[in-house]
Amino acid sequence: MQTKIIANKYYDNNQSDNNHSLAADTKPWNDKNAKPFVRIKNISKVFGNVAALDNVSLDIYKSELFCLLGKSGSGKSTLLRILAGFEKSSTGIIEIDGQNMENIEPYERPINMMFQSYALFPHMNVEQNIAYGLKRSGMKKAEISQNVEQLLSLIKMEGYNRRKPHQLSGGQRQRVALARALARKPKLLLLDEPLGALDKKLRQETQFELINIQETLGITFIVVTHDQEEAMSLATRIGVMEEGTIAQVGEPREIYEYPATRFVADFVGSINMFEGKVIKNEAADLRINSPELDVNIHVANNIACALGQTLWFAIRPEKITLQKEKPKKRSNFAKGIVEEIIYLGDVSNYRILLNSKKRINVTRPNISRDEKEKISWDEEIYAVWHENSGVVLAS
Amino acid sequence: MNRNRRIVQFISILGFIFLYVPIISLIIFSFNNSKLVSVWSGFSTKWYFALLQNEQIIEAAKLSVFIAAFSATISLILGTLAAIALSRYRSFRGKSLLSGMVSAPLIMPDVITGLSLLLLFVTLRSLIGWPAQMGAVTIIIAHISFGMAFVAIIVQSRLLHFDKSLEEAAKDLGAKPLRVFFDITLPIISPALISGWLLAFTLSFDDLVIASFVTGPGASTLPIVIFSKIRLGITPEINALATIIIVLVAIFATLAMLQMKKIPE
Repeated sequence: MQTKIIANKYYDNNQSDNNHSLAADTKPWNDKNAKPFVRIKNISKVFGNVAALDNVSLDIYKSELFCLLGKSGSGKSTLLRILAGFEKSSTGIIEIDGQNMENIEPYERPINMMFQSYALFPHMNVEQNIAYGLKRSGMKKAEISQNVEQLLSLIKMEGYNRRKPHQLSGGQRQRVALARALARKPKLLLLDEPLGALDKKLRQETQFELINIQETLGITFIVVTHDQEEAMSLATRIGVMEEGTIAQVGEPREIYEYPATRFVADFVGSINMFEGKVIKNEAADLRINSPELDVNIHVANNIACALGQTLWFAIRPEKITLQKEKPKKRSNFAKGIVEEIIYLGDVSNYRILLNSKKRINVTRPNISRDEKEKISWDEEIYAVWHENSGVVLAS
Repeated sequence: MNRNRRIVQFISILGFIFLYVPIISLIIFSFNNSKLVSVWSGFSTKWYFALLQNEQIIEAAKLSVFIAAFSATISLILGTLAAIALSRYRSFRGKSLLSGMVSAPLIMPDVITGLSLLLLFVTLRSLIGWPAQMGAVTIIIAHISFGMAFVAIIVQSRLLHFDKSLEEAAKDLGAKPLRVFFDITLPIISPALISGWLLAFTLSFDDLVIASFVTGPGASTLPIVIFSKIRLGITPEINALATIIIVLVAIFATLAMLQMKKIPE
């Protein structure tokens, strides 16, 4: 909470209207009339004859914490570098706060970036690093040192002014890099794998700090990451990138529960996928026949598809339950043998080998300590799911 | 274990004796009272004073320092530019040719370099009348030709390990390209520049072969003077001079090494 108060002090000095953080219930992306803050229109980038970005369009709203999630080589970093101005896009327009960014040099953009390597200047101490951007904007000395002090307290590193970057721990370097990027009060902050170099424990702490700072300052953040857990816990919205295109944009819950494509379903979290053909498609009653299952799949909503079309049914491991007796219903279950159990304490992961030789994963919370309810290796078991638990994917 | 270590120690001591006994004996005999080089007859510093009286040697030393400093400075500028071209620009016509040409003087025998430069200067004189005479200028040009190769190699290896995001970060924080160069690039590569300059200086200062090809009347560098003197027999005076040069070179080499150590990983 201390962070919040200090952050307010730092930003309220100069800007009065940016203190409204994005409340949980205001979702500008659901509002047709909301004006996007960052507008990415038809951006393509070609390196040689490889398209790193292929006609990407994206609207990002003020005070969002937007995560670009993708594997390495998916184009997410290229998009970030185009936003920062280090790369020029082959085609397309980028607008920030209504201003076209074409022909605006990186040093003139109202954007700052936190680099993956942090890029702290090794020959300057912490104070000089943080003050560098302020000096470039021609701020007076007294004001600079006042600003630096406020930023140091924002990142809880008072008294570290004279330390050189190599005398800091990884977490401290990360915070100095953040303070340096925030110092010029950018309209938009780009973060390239901000937590990538930290160990797991530190990563979780820093995550909350980052969200806290972002919420308090109300700056729009765009974070690039390959770590889906990181994206899930940080983002207001996630843009999943696949081979230079945006595969899906949505809130973390939406991405996880309603993935739009097989790629997204598979990339975010783990999932079981069954391929099958549509045998019935009526109001709230879609039936799929999959050769990988003994019984049909029944889904309680319908999608636009033709009879006989190939579809994929995807279901998350935690949405399947295991039971020893045969279910009474005639769809949505599979019989198999427990092939592998991975005990993780709070949950256990089961790998079930179905009759069709397909393997599925089931996650089950360890609620009971009763030995009788224990499921053991090589046991015959039924995997059962509810008609609303899975998603049907056409591509 | 212990026995192996003993053997290693013994061999390395032998190695050091092989390397340093000649130099140490030279230093010791520079303090010899006798005029005979190989007979010890008591401690004296008189050869050092004699050296100071020797106008020819003092002049040669001054010339050598001037040539070394001048050629090292030009080598630094040209070598750095070559290094930037080779490490910063992804590809341009003739890049691998330039890369090979830059490092060629490192492996070229001095005799060849000296001879070819001599031929060049002679041809130039008959074509355009310049250089009218061999001398300090031609030696400087010759020394730049290999000095810049060493600078280019050192600076290039530094630039290859240079994290480019440092420059991008400075740009991102509002610094224009020239500012980025002076605020970020230059300070970070400066240890490499200093050690490159020191190396070019040392190489120029003790070059005999190339200098003797391209020198002319009145331009005798220290190595040339020493070489011509010892043909008449080694005097304790030369020992004293050699001792001074060893000390100076050792200081320079240490400085260069300390600068290299400063280069952060």
